[in-house]
Amino acid sequence: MILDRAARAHQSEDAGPASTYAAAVERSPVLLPATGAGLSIARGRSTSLSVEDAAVVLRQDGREQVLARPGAVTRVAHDAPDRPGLDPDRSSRLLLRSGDRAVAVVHLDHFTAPAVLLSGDRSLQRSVSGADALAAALDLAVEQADRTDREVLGQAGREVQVRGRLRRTGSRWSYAVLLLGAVLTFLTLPLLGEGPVLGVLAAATGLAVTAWPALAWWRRRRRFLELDEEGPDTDEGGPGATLLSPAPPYDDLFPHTRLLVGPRAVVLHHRGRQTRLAGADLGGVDRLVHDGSSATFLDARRRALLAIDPAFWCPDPTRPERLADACRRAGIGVGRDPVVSSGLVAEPTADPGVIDDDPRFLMPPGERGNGTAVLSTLVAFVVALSVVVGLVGVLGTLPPVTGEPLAVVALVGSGLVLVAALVLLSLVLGVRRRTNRWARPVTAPPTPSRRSS
Amino acid sequence: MTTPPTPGDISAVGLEGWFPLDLTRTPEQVHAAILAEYPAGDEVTAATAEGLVGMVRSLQAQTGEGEATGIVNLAAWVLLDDPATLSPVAVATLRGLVEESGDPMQVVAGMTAGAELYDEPPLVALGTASGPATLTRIRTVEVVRGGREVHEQSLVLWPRPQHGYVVTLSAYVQDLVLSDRVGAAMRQLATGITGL
Repeated sequence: MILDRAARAHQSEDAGPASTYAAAVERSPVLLPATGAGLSIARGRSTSLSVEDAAVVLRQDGREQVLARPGAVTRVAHDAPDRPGLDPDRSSRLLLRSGDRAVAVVHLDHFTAPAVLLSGDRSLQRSVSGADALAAALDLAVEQADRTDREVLGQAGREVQVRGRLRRTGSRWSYAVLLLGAVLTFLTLPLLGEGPVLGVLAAATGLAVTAWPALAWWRRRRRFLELDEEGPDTDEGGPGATLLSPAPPYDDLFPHTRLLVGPRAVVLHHRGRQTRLAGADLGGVDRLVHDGSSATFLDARRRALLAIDPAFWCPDPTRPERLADACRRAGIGVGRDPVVSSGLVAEPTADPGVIDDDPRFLMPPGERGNGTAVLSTLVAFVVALSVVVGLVGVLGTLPPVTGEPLAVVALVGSGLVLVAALVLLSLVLGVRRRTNRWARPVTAPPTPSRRSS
Repeated sequence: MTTPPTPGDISAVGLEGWFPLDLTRTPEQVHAAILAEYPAGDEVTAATAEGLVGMVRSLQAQTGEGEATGIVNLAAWVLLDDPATLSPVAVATLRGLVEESGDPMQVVAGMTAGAELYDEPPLVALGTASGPATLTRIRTVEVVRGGREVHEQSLVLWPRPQHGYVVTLSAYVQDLVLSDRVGAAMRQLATGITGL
């Protein structure tokens, strides 16, 4: 009995400083993607990894898949570099093993709130993301990845990778095909002098090659803009969710920015990016604390998850009733507790003069739909070249129109190339213009609603 | 007659990442020693130093009740995440416990009585500066606020049946990922402890 007491003494005292590493137990065993930008927004809102009746279930892109039947998972291990990074393609990984086989490789950084990821505390990450709860629901605990785990990870196939974001969008081939199209179109120019038919054929080939990557690029850009305009999916928040728009004048400045406060999820949508927290029903967000000038979502253990600026969302930030009502409906407590400085920076913010810079730089290229300046310029250039070739073909075959069948074919062919190239060019330039308008820097003006301090 | 080792005779050589908390000093002296190494330039460091001193006070109080409890706390070390800052990961405590048996398995069985074990504690022989010891880890399932957690006690045992006690070095963590690192550090610390 003395030893039993001693063991208890060990527990209560030795746990002192290490208690900051306590594993979460209140969290439901449900992992939701925490951030997603651009094209990854659709992936983020459709994805969840959960343990249901002891089975591991992945829902993604409208499909439901049982990754592991009850009792199949024998070990859960976390393979993480000491310090988290922000590169989504180099996430730490949570391995769910069944014997020597990987049943799921969860890219855990995708499922971790940025504030937690930036803290650099991997233990906190496992707790807040729901990884600890997931393991506990399987009657296991997350362990440090050992050599065997790393071997299993190395052999894990694509089908077991669980990502909360798209790895990349579009094909790397599109660059190569686009360059090939450019070369073919350039070669067309001298061929136009060799004879009208040969020139038109070459021009049509160049345009056909170019059209595929150009149309794919246009589709991705258009989808990207659509996703930003759609904002959060209210259903995602669960019953009783409230979708908040910014308070004037920010609603005009950022017409698509929204804050979804629901019992299942809290989602901040701003300029093509989303940040998602598990809601109160999942043991995530527990309280919103505010002091009139700042507000922070906390979990049940008072860990800061996300900071928001009440002045951005409420006409009178000292009485954030809109926010408070939405929170209460979602089962989130609201308090005017003195906010312990969470160190988190709210974004978007109502600070006057703060320039919300080009948001594209905050997204990995894959998530902004390969929307790099280089690619969009290349697409526009190659398509414009096709327009020139089509025009030269038309004008070149016009003067000696003699009714010869070949000349007529060349004229019609050149005309078709010209029209097709013009249509493609208008699509490309149109979406490029919309993207540039979307990405404009915004300066928030000083407003009466702004706090006096 | 139980005669645990004398704290003054105990020292640890080759410490890597561990900061000693001298239980033979007053809490105020320990506080001063911590601040001499890690000046409290910020709130976190100051609060952490206070927390460690509170732990020292509690360990010393437990020793004061040694006759009733059969526990004497001999020394303590704190494992730091980064040796350049006061960033505790775990605290290892060296204790003398009244125990007639010299069998490590029996000692572990006594410590885990009534607890739900996550897995069987492995017993590994360990050579140390104080003679042969046994290294183990005890993983228990704890119900905390309605949820299930697995905690781990990393443990080194030096049985001294001829004197009627066993010396234990233990550290407690609530995260199995962390325990891997703490376990390795415990092995290194135990190897260099002299005077038992």
